Amino acid sequence: MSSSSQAPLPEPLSLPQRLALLEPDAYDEFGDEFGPRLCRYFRRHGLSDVDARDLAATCVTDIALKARKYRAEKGSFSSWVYAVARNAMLDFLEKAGRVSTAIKEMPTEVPVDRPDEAVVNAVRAALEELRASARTLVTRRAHNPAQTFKVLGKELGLKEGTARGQCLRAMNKLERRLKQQPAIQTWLRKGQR
Amino acid sequence: MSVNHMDDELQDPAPWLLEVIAESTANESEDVRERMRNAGRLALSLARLRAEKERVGFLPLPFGRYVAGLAAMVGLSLEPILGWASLDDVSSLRAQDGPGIGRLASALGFRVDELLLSIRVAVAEQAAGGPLPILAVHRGASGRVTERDCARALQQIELDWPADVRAQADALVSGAESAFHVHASRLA
Repeated sequence: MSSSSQAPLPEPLSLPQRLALLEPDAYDEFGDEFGPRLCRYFRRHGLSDVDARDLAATCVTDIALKARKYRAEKGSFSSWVYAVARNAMLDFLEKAGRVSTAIKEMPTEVPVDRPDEAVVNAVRAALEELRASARTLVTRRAHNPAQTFKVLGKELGLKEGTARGQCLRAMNKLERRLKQQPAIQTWLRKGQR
Repeated sequence: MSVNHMDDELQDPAPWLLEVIAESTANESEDVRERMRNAGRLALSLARLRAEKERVGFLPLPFGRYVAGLAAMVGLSLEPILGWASLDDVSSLRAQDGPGIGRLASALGFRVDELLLSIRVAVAEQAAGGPLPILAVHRGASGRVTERDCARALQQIELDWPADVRAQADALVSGAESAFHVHASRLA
């Protein structure tokens, strides 16, 4: 019998399909993949470490539970997860009395896909070219944009203005360099940034 | 050109830059990762109970006994699920359990009227000190007991409720219904 007469292998099921089928591995995978990313996402929007972790854990449970409502024709699963998480974050901030018009109107700049290895390597290589203090400032700022330069500067023995200047100069330099990298350009196009 | 003037020309970083730096330098602890995996497993438990509830349908049982029965049928421990709903024990309902019951019921796919009926059954049996003959008869009947049958039976029973029992039921129902709708809107 020729190979052309054999039935094609079925497409592997996607993560949301496996969640809807109650596959145990899928729930572990969802928590492992999205939980830490949601923590970072919430921290970038001003939540404390504790609040970010609590809200991320709640979102993992709630979102996995409603995975059967995801519709692939409306966009990527990642976009859908972050859209739900964003609403949860706005609810949380509203209850804490911390929602401003600016936050409510913020564009849905949700992360789409986790950066692949090429992107991660490009970013790490670019960070290595910075001076140690600039690299620390940039990394800390990226993980917690709500932290003030006054606090950051104090930790590094810098004045507030110096910390701000060093950090922003380093970030502007990184942005110019990374935008020229093909891996970054592809990642930006995929996320339509 | 002074440093301050140069600093004025610095731009705030684009959101994508912060995101890609954070994702590329992420180093979440194993504790955090395990907590997130547990959150995923909790969702699986809730989803399995929900699937079993869809199969079983309505039964004229107190809320706690119904949920415990579902867990027994799928071989799940109820403890982590009750913990998630901030409930200690559902075998005997207290007024302050309303929000937790509402949240749990929403996650398990109850309709709100179905939930409220099961709460009223629970309060009725707690007030009577045991299973009510009128509902027990229905449970033993060969035909399915409808929600309407149950509601009618409860209406009769509730006529004799003292004020404190009525107040407890109202508090439970109010708390549960409110939390139910909040959680249901998140799952919509």
